[in-house]
Amino acid sequence: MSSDTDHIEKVTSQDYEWGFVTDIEQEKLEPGLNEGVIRFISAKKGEPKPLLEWRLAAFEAWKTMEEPDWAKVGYPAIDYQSISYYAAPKNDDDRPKSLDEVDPELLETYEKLGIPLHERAALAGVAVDAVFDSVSVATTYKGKLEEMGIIFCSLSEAVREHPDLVLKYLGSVVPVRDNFFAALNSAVFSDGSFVYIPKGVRCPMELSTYFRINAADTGQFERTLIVADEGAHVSYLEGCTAPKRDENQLHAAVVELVALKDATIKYSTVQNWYPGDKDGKGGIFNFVTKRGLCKGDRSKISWTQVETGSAITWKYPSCVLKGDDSVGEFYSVALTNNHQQADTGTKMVHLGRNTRSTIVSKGISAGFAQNTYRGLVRIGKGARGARNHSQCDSLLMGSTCGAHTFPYIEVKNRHSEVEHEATTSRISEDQLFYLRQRGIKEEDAVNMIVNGFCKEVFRELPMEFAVEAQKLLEVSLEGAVG
Amino acid sequence: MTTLNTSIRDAWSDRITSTLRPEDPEWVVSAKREAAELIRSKGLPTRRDEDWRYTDPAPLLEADWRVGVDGPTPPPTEEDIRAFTYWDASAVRVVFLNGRYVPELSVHRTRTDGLSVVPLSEVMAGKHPSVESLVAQQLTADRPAMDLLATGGARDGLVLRLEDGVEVEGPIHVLCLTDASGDDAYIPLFHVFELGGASRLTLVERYANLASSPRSFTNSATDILLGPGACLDHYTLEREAERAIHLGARHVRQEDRSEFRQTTFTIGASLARHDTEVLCDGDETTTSLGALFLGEGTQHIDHRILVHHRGDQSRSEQLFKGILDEGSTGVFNGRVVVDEGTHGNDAQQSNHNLLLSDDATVNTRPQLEIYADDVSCSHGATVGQLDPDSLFYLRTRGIPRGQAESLLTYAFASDVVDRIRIDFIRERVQEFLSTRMEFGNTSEMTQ
Amino acid sequence: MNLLEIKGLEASVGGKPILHGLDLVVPMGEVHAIMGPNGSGKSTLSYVLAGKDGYEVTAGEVLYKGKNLLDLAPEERAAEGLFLAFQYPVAIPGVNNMYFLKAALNAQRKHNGEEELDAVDFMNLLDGKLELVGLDRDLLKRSVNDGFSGGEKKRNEILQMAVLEPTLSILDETDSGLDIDALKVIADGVNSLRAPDRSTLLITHYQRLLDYIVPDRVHVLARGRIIKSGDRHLALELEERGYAWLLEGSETGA
Repeated sequence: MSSDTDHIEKVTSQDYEWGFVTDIEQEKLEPGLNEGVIRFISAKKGEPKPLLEWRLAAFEAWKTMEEPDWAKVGYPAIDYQSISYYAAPKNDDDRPKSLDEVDPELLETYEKLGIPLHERAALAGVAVDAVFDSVSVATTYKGKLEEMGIIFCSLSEAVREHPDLVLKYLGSVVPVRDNFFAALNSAVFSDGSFVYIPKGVRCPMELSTYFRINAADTGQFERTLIVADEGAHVSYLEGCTAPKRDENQLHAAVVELVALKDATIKYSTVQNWYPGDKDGKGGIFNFVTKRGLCKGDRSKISWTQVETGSAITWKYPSCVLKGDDSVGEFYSVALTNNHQQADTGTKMVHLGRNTRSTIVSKGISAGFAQNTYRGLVRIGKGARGARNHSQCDSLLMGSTCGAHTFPYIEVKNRHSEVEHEATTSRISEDQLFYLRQRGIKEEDAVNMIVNGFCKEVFRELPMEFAVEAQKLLEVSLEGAVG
Repeated sequence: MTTLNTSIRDAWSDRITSTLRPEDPEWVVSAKREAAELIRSKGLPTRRDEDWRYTDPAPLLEADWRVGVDGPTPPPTEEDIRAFTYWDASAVRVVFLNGRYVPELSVHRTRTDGLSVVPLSEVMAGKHPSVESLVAQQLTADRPAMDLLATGGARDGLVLRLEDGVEVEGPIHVLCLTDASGDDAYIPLFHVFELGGASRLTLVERYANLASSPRSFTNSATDILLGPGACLDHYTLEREAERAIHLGARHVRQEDRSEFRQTTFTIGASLARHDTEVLCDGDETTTSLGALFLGEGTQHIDHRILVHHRGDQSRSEQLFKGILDEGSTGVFNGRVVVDEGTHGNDAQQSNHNLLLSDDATVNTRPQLEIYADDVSCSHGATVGQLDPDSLFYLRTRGIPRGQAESLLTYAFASDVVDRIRIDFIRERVQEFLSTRMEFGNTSEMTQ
Repeated sequence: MNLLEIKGLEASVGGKPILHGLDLVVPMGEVHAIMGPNGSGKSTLSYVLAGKDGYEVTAGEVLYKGKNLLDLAPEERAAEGLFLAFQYPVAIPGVNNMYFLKAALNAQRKHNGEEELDAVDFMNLLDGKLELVGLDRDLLKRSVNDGFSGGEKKRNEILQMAVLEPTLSILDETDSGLDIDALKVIADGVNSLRAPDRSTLLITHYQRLLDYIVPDRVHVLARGRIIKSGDRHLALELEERGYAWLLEGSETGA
């Protein structure tokens, strides 16, 4: 308990620990979006022609689409012409080849983030791909992974080195026209991670990416593509932060996962974008499309997310369970405080026989925040023997916040079972009293109870992430009690 | 709200104004004109509206319905409606045919002081000034466009007022029938029930058709106002003809300590949609909603519920059960809202569905929208088939598979059936179910 | 005459083989006990005999009254007098216990070409049986096993057995979790049904039940096969020495 207490005391003086701005020379495109911008981004990355055409087609599609308004979030209209669509550290031409060559100040940035890149990587056996603003900076352990045939690099590098592989799967799970933000991302995505695990290979370490938006007035549009070939196994982690700024910044990422026969992909996120200040000023608009395709029989995709940041979160990591006996999982903790708004959940689309899915969602709302779970479970006509179980619990802290649960359940096969349960309540007075009576101070007691409430989800996270997530929760709840 | 093609909207607006009569008093004229104008300006729902996501309103709005259909001549006799009038216990029976009050078939068996039961048509004709302001007020209440088609178009319905402290013995039975002359007819009905403080009433609304099977569109709106401590036990039995469309909307407002109990059985109509909106305005209110719906053929049955807690210390529960056979579709769209600044509300919601056929579909959306932390809310939804362990257990005791399945299906429905406090109706529903589930006498099932 | 003959029975659950060539003969009129460690396949055997879905017989045969049992649906087996007292009786909310019992009895009577009992005759029959198992009549008004205590569930199983008067009763760990009084009630129920034209298969983990229901034969089931058979003294020996000494022997045998 004492270390937690220290931690809380430490953070009382700093609302958003990660809200510094790194002073590095940036190469940044002027705000605005047109065909020229897309051609510039594509040229900058030396992309093959088909990819440029794909981007342009996405841009054409995007122009005809409407920004979605069904989510339970409110925000001023976004002027897509006032955003810069490309920003990279300036020393782009001589990109660092290894960590030693990385700009020391950038490394320091990661230190400040609490992510001592090399140290942590070495200790935890984590291979890290860091995306700073829009450009992938460094990928560690690349060589070691290459020996096993594993490709883990930035998407731009993958486009150059493995164009066939990238073009085969890019947009195959999240089509260009899937939604407004996905179309925008397809047009302007700057970088992101690419992972390919060959047949039968079990990736020996956690793969990890850290994202950070640094430059002002920029949007970040990273794109991640992970392909696990037959029988392959990979666990992937992603973390994100952004500096404190008074303006809202847009983050519209796309993540696509493809699991072939007998493959398993585990994708964990700790999202801690800048949430805005206590009065709701500033913060990231986090409009993200994440979807996994369980393409082969017995494949499995598991999403785990801890969402504590962003002014607005609009995010539904989903699974399309196409292969027979495939499995989809979604474990989520979403915490909103002050004026944060989150509309998050998942879609489990059962197409194959005996497909199974599990949804565990824990929403915590404090201050003036609105926290919504929105999820779809669809059992298709051919999904004989499909099973789903969903559990969505919400915890309210304070009388001015909201917690909402909007499941959509569509069942077209009688030989299936779908169960959905949800509860909404506040922290139990009895539990709180019991802990306080035993001498635990209120704030710690609340943290204990909240952590207990989220345990089912934290359990799914890799060890060091679980610790980080737990701390984040405590920090984010700062001021929500008493 | 997105708009349907304007010509359809205008057609509905015209249908409403066409129900105006030269002799109508000013308040009726202005209410109908306002409704017609609202339809024109607000438009009608489409599938893009979340409330109509799983039920496409276009086919029923686009069809060429006739308004102002006359009843048959001669009107049906007591003998013709015998199948629906087993209500020996009912205090009052009010019969409507094709949306028109039928005085010859309506009966006031017992007179209760402080109870007034009159047809809307007579209120509109100025015959009951004491309830005029109530009706006028409800006619202009804010409501969804689809319900405006009912209230704006209605020339009849039941207006009921119960004075403070009055308890009515025996149920009041509202029988709404359609017969062959109702073919292609649009039949709007508007009922208003106002219960004074600490009054008590049991009321049954029944929708059915006489022997023939008309293709009709019944659109009924029922406004229920419950005063402090009032208690209403309300039943809706809907078994319209297989080609009929039935929309039924109930708007309920509850004051302090009032109790609203509603049980709905939906068996008939090609498309049946039941909307219930309950505003728990007062403190310490109790709301209990239950429904059983049985689908077969290509029936589409949709229940939309909103329970809105605006006061403190209130309790609400919802129990909705669907049994879907053949190519039928069941929809549950239930929402609980708890307002900011309220305290101690407890809301439970559950929807359970059985799919009996490979072609049946269920879409369910239980929703919680909570803006107060001092609450206890939960919901649960399940879709599936009969529990294989229970089935196996019964079979190991020698009960053949078919019978075991019937037994379990019946058991699935039993907690909704058990809600019925009027013995005679409960028994009829049990009989109906046992016939539908194809097994023998069930009277021993529920001892 | 042998009531039950199991030859070389192999069975799997969810693709996982559980029974590996089980042989067992239960002559008419005898009480046999099957004992074995956890996970040896005891419950699988009882489910296979009762015909539960998902319990797939991959080899061997089961003859009941000289006929192939495995061809029959669960309810046909029941009608032929095979009764399984479940280790975990299933709760069925909404199905009245008395209605259920009567439906079960009448299904059997119908199968045997007997007239169905009416409510009055049925109640008369029940009253005696209730007394036998020490259950209150109120229990009949509740839903099948719904909200029953552990002891009530087990007694309810024995009540059903007493009403249906099966030819072969299989009791799957009916003694587990019961206190001594309840155990005696169960034993009385079983003993009262002992007759030259009936047999019983007691599946149990403990010797305790066999103090009250004395078996004619005791079999040890381990790793999906019967590895040893003997008279009632085998059970006492097992109580004393455990299963380990037998398992070592079976290792070499397998």
